[in-house]
Amino acid sequence: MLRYLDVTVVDGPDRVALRGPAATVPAWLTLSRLWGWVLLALLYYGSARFGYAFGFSGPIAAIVWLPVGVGAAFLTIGGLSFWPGALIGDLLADQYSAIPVWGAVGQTIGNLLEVVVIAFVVRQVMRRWSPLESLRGVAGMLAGICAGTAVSAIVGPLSLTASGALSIGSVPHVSWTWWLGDTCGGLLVVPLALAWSRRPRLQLKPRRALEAFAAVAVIGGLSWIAARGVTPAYLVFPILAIVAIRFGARGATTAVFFSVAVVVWGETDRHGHFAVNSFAPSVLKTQFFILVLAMSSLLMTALVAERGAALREMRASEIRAFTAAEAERRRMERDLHDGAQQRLLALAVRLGLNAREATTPTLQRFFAETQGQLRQAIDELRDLSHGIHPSVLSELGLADAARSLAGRSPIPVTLMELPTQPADPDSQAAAYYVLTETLANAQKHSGASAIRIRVRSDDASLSVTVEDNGIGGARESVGSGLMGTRQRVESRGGSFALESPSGVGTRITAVIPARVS
Amino acid sequence: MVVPAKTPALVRVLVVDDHEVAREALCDVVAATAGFELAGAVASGPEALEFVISVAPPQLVLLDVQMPGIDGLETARRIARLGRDVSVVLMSAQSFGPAFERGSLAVLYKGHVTPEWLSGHWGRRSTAA
Repeated sequence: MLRYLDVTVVDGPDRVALRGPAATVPAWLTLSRLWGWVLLALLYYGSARFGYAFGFSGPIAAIVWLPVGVGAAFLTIGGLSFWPGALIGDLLADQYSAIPVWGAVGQTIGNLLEVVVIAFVVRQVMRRWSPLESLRGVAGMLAGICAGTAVSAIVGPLSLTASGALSIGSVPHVSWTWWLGDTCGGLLVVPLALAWSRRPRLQLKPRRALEAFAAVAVIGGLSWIAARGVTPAYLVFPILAIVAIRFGARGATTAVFFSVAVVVWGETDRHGHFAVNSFAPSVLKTQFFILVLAMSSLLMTALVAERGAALREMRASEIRAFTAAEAERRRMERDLHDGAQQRLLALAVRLGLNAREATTPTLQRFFAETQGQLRQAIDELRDLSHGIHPSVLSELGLADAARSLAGRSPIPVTLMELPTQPADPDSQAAAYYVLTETLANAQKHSGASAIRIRVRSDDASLSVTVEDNGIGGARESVGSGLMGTRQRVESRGGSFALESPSGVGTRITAVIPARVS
Repeated sequence: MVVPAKTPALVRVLVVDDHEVAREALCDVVAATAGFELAGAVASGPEALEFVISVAPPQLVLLDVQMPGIDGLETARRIARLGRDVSVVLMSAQSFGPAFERGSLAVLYKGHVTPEWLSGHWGRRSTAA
């Protein structure tokens, strides 16, 4: 029983001391934990009553025993310390009029152990892998659910046998059905709860919402037809696969739950695809259908998620490689600029000074030839250095580099907009290469008389647009400059678009992720 | 009374370049140009700014564009804000094409710095003034 706490403020307002009778209340017994017990007990009891009311659960057997999923999910997400809620819920849910008390108590102990084992195993799995987005995680979760339900499927029937409610000869059959029903409940609810308990919150845009609505309608329709016994229930499989691909874990688990709900409703109504002559075989068939459906969907979801993660990692790896290559190019350009270029320039300047002293024609010719060769060497080195990394970017930034390109273009270039804030060197280099490649392309092939350039920056990107009024019809062929530019932009996570209708001109737009300072 | 002919004052030049070999070559050009004297040679923007506000400021600054820390463009802006009577010529080891040399921003290719260019540039500046 809780007592009032005697709270005394000591050493200022930030520290309080508890004394007297309050020490009898254990520290772990917090209000939120109590509320958790109550909530779990209500959910557990409610899901059991739901099963009884709709006839898919009975005092001994169930097609789907939802409380195991509810209890295991709650303990997995909230923590194992909420187990008393599952105990209270199960004691409330037991049908004491149908089975002896001691049988019910044994059954409750089995059910409690079941949810605790599942939650413990799944929590252990979650420490290393995602239980929904990795195959290992799914395998671990499935193993936990199967192990936990096996405990209940052994303890429960044996307790009922000990209390005289069940003959010993029936134990294997009942245990088997029991295990299947509980496993179905766990497989339906635990992944569903895990999927919806995670961030981010659901954000459905209208088009996605429409797609989701269509999926729900098709799954509901196919499941309903199957429940009427008109078509096989397995028709729903392809749709569930699509949902797993399009909507991930949340969509897949919800779709499976919805489809199973419709099919089980058909089964309990005895008209469904699984309804054959006797109740037990039809129950078994329904349970196998649920197991296969849930497991396939979970595995499909995990495969899709792993593939997505691998693709993201590959893209990140490409960006890292690209960034490292750019850094190396900048370093080489800097080394050339700081070393050989400066020495050759100094040599040229000094040679020019000494050439003034040359008095004989032979000496004058020698100096002139040497200066010419030196100038050529400097130009070649500059071009080489520019090819490695455009030093104009390092020296003047993207806006002035674009002005420089425009100034050198044989086709008149109008600069519509240029960035006012510098961006990070890698994105500036990517934007610069878009400009050089598209300008070169326009100069070689477009036959244009005017080119317009727009380079816009915002907080997260650089957007480059190059338009010409040429003949259009530009294509990205393999190995072409435009294809290379696209790869360069996309390897940085950007986008590249080419519009080149014949006779109208060409517009190239590249958006490059950037850190603008 | 014979009044001795007044010797025209030498134009004081400050060379700013972080590359030692280039700095020394530019100093040689200044030293070889008649009517000019080397006021100093420094390797960074802050040192150049200190020199400009010193008791013996230069009249002409040959300023490299690309330098670590405060680059040449920013150093030129700060010198302009000081309001001193000093002319700044930006130089680079790169040639940026005709647009830059004809446009509002003039960046001189270092290889073009010769005694003839120095005399000519100062002569044009004096005429314009």
